[in-house]
Amino acid sequence: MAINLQNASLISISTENIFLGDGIFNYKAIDTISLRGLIDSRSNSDYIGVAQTLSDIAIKVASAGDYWDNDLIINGVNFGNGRVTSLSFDRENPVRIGEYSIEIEIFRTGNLDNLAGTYYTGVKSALTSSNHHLIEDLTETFDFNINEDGSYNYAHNISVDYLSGANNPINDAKNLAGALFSTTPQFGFIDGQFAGFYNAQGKKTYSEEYDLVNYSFSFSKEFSLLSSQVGDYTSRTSRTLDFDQDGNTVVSEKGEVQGMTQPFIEYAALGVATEIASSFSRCNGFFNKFVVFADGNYNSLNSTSTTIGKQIDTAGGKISYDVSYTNNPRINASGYIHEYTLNFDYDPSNAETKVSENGSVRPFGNKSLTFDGTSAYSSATAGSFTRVDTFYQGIWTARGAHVESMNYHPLTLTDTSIEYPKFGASISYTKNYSSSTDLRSVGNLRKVEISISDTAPIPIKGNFFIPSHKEIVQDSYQTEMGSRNVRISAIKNRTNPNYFDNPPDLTNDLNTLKSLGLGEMRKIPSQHPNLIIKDIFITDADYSFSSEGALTLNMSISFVGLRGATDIDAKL
Amino acid sequence: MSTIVRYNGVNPFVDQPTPFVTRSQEVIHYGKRWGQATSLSLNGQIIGPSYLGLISIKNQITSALFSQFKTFEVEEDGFQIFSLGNCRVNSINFSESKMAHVVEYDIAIVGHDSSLFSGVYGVLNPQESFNFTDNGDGTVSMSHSLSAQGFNTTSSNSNAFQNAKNYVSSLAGWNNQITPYFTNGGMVPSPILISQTEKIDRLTATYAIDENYSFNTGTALTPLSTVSVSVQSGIEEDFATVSLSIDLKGGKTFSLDGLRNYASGIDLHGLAEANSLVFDLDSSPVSYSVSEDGAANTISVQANFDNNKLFDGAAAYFDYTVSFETDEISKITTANLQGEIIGRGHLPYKLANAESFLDSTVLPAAASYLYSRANQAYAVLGFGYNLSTRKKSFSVDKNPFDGSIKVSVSYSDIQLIAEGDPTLSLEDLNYEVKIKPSLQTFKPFKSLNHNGYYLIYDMNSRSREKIDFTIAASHINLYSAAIGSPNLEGFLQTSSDKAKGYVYDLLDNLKGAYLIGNERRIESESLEVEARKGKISASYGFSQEEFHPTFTDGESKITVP
Repeated sequence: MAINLQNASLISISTENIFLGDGIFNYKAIDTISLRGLIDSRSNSDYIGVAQTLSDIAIKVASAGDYWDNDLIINGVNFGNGRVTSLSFDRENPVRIGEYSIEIEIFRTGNLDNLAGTYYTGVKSALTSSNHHLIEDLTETFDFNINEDGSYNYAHNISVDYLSGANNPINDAKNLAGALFSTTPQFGFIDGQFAGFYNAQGKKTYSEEYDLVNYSFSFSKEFSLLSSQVGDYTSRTSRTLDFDQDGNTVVSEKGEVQGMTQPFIEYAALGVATEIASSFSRCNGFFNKFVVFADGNYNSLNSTSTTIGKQIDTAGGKISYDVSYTNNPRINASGYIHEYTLNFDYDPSNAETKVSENGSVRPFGNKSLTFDGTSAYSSATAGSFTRVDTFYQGIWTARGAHVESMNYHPLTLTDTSIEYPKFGASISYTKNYSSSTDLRSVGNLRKVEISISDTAPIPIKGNFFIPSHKEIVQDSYQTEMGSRNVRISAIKNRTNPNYFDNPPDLTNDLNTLKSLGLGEMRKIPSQHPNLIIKDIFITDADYSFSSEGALTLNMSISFVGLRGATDIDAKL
Repeated sequence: MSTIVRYNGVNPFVDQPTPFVTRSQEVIHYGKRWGQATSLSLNGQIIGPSYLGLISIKNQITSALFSQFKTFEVEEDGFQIFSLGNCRVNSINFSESKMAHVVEYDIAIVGHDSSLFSGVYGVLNPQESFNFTDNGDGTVSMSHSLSAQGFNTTSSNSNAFQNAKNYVSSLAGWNNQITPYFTNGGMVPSPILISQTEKIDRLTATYAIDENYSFNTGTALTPLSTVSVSVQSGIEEDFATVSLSIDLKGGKTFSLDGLRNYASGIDLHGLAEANSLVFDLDSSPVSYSVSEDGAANTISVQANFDNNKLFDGAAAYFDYTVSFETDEISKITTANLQGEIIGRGHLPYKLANAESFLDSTVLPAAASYLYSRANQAYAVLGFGYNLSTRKKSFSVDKNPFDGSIKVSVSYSDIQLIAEGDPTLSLEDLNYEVKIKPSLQTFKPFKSLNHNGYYLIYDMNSRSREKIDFTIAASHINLYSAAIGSPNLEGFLQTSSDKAKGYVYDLLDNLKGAYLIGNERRIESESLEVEARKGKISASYGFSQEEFHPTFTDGESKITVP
């Protein structure tokens, strides 16, 4: 209902233009109307009492309030919408004529024509579309920070107090904040690198405060950026280098990636992939710069990362990662980790040196149903003999020939063990080598062992025990034949997978054994030069073959030799 | 006609002139019109014959106005023409005078007329604000602050504080009072109450409540949930591992049971995949832990997942290693398969799955599960021969307290005959062939008068070649009916006969390979059987014309010149 003030006798109208800042932008004007009026109680014909006047006062008091929907009419003139701020009735004896004083505020839009230019695009429309004449107070600040850690952030803060007005001040405040947040000033001057930083894309976080009674509102839009921005993400990285007592160096990079485009987490993930892909280049540069602190030659940093860790903040659209590289030579460029130890073990009693390589081969990657480590194993162990032999010869050479009866003989692989996990991921192996001469191969025979047992020719004599005299010896002037037993054992080189269903043809192997046996037979004269040997002949021989592939030749050889009856010197 | 002023039903100005009453209204705005404060000013004179008389009148007035928060009335001709309840007498001033005959005074009275309140009558300085803060982690913090100051609206005991309290209390809680514009995407949230504070200043009749809420972005009413995930992988990791951590707050909105119900319904696997972006995680966690704080009404869930696909959709799998020992001289390789049946889940479930896997998959002979896996690795590594199906050893170890079942078995690549015979398993078989070749025969004769001289007669004849075969076998009786059978001896005899048959087969093979000369004759034959021990051994002697490599005449005898 409109308020209609009649009988206003004195009116003062003052207009105050309200500015943002110190007279910068005139966003509204307040017309303050002060008036005094009469309360006509002349109908009080008996001139006694104030009932009529108080009744009129009560009506006016009841009408003192806000007139946002209705008009304020003074002496028939409509002043528009506003509010009554005070009302008083000061006449002390209002029997026939009362008096009132009233103060009214009318709010009008100001002149915002100068709210334009580079930094104000969109601001005027934001205000004019938000009942700005009802704003009691408005502040807006931008805070940009370039921080010690290289990150930068800003906060855009808006505080606004509204009069209730005819509209919904909550919606007005929301609209105003939304419009101001949507403006894109080229702010961020502190460093040329960040010029126009306000408009950087990325995740903005908001805070809002609503005072539902007093219509006081504040809004804040915050944004942060890590030290660098690449396309749809921003990132920050740091690196550490650790040189350990084993002489290996590990370079680790920690990174933080924040997606800048919706969906943030997906762009963060893409960013992490990009950063990890390029992390080796950064780590390697870092490595090359600081690897010189320790003495000596060093291995290059392997470009295959050894560990990758990620911490994912899906809601925040952020991912932290850590990735490590090492120059430990166990990392093989062919896609596996190969570690091994070499062992040298000399046994003087057998004049045998055993050298072994114990190792593990782990193809890069996880355990899987389709794990196949054969190529990695083959690749890693292809150089086993070279490594072992180099190690062996190095020791042998360094110690010097014949020192401690440690004679050099070529190595032979004696046995291999492999542990092969079905699903991966690490294959262990041992390869044992021996310098034993018994391991040499002859023809198709392996581990050929030859043993010889000789019995010297002894003079033939007869011993006779003569009672009451002595035991006498009667020489016959003849010598018993000497003998040589040759035993040759060997392992047949396995060519046949099954000796049960298909017993092998032994012809060649037996001929080899025979040849070796004859060789030993022919050596008899030269090996026993102290004997005068005339005839040598075979008295017995046999071969054997077992289902395990073991072959033997036993030969019995007799030879005729001369020894005098009193010759007691060793002849063999 | 007379006009009378009363306060608390009493005319303080009896026998005195009625004071002039003026009135002013202060409009109270809190964003909009809230109400009005009415200030009354009573100006008048007291008239008395003497100083004491005036003092008496003054005392009459102050006494009548001593009570506070009473009703002020103006009455005219017996009718009330103005009334203001719960008035506060702020001041009574008697002007400076000689205190003789006439003294002026003014009295200030303030009151609030309930009819002039569009806000809540009895309440001043009302505050109600909501603050929304996006925490950047998918949660929004919301605070609801309420405060008010009361004033008296009764003439008896003060109800000012009660008015403030009633007002604030009526506004407490969440009732969709406001929809945030920026946070939560402008959607109506469903916050949960986390904490509350209450501030009371009874002397100033001020009452305030702060409510702290939080909610996950969205509209559903759920416990506050924060999720963090870490992923670990590397070239030496068996699997990519994902650690999922969920912190749930029920606040004052959810009961602990409600929180438990919510927590137990969480799809941990889905959450782990969605947040880790690793989409091949096994559906069952490797491990998990849950902790609750009943007082704080919080539940934390930690779960670890990996992308172990070795289960391949089954409830258990056999994780095994095949190790090979190769004698590089004989080229005989022994394969040892050792592994553990891995189940997931709680112990009874894990053990039951492992047992089921053992019984239905690993053990059945028909499936040849163990052999095929050992042979597969043997073939992959390329040893060049064939792995025997004959087990050299076999063991199963079960630990019901950790749900583990370990199985080991070994094979070699020495293949025996009769592999695959379902009725007899030859556990060991070996033979030896001994060949005594045909030899030239010499007969030595001593010289009787020349030491060191022998006459070696060449008999110009060669002996027959002799071949001996020695065979030994051990076997397991696979006639299962033999167990506990009254006809055990009969079954054992059957097994022995079966084994003997294989010995004969092997003998035939050996004869076919080595006894192929002319004029073959048997020289000896023996057989030894230990049926209960599953052992059998046999030896055979043969002779034939010269066949295998032997020594020529020239090789057989050397004359040293």
